[in-house]
Amino acid sequence: MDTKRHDQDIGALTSGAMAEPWEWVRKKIPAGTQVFDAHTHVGVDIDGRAMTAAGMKARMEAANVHRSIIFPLNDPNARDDYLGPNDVVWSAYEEYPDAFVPFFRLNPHKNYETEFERCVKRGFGGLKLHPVSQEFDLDDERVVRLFEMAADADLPVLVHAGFAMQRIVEPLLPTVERVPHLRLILGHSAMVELLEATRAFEDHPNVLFETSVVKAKDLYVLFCSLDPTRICYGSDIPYGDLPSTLHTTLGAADAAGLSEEELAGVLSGNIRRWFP
Amino acid sequence: MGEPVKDESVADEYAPEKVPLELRVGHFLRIGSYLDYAMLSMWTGRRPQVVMGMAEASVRGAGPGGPSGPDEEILARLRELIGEAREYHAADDFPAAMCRIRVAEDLVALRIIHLSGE
Repeated sequence: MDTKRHDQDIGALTSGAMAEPWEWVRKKIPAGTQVFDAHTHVGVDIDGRAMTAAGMKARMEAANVHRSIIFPLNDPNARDDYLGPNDVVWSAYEEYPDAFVPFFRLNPHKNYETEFERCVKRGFGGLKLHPVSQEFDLDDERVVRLFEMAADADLPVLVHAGFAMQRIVEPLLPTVERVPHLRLILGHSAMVELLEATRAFEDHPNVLFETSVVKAKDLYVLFCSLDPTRICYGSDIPYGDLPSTLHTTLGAADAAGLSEEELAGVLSGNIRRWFP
Repeated sequence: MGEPVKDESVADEYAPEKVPLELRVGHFLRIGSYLDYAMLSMWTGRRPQVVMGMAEASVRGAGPGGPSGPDEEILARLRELIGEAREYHAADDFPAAMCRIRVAEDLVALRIIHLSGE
């Protein structure tokens, strides 16, 4: 086995012991499905991880993924307004306009109005918020205002609702009920509160559950507890990868008995309702 | 003079139909917990090679059904995935290592879910 370091060598993700799971994934994806990844990052993070536009595109091509939502990491160069990292994402989109849907990122603790307006005018497809990295609660009044601004601008918001989160449903539900036109993507499917979230948001069709780096046992519960048309696939690149996250999603969906049509929706059709 | 030797062969003792379902589930729960430890240690960077080695050890040897037991196919796949993960991690290829640990952990969880319906 060749084990030298190669960050861009995606072959290591589908060879050796991964060859059989990857082959299973390829056969399991319903014919004609153009896979849409609803959760990826481009840029650099304070933890040292990074992803370039070309690296992201290469991963998509190797795994036959058609489109991806991209947004900034927790960038050390974000300063107050995330302008620099948002520009990196926009440049990636301009390089591969057919492959990427660009989301911008903001820090609700800082003055965000100018950058919000700039990004809306520029044509970004949505907003990414990370309550853990930027240390805010989902019911903070500055965050609630951002949700309202995004809803009024008809922009979907992807909010991190995964690792390290301790309050998700209770602080989000009042906003979702009060602003029903807010289109919300729960990154990582509300992980720790997954089942409670399916009950709370079941009757709110503008809330989607996104699957990235959620374990198969969690996704099994999700697929068994929520209308599959409310679930969309994500990878969380560079923290996740396409082969293993596709394997997780397909394995859980298989165990839960999803039909091919439902599976195609999870992998593509459900998020395409917002990004045709 | 001691007790007479039993007629049953060693192979018969490992007959799959004689392996209690609860024991098979219990074995997979053990493995799953070590894989969870491994994943956490990889993310936090706290003794990952040691904890991955524990996960590797948890799948060493035949399962409760013995060499011809009903779970040997998945156990063999787990050995391969965890072994390669540890090698990739040692070679500083985190994505290739984490990819394998994720798949291994999911295979174990999905097997437990499947067995619960038998």
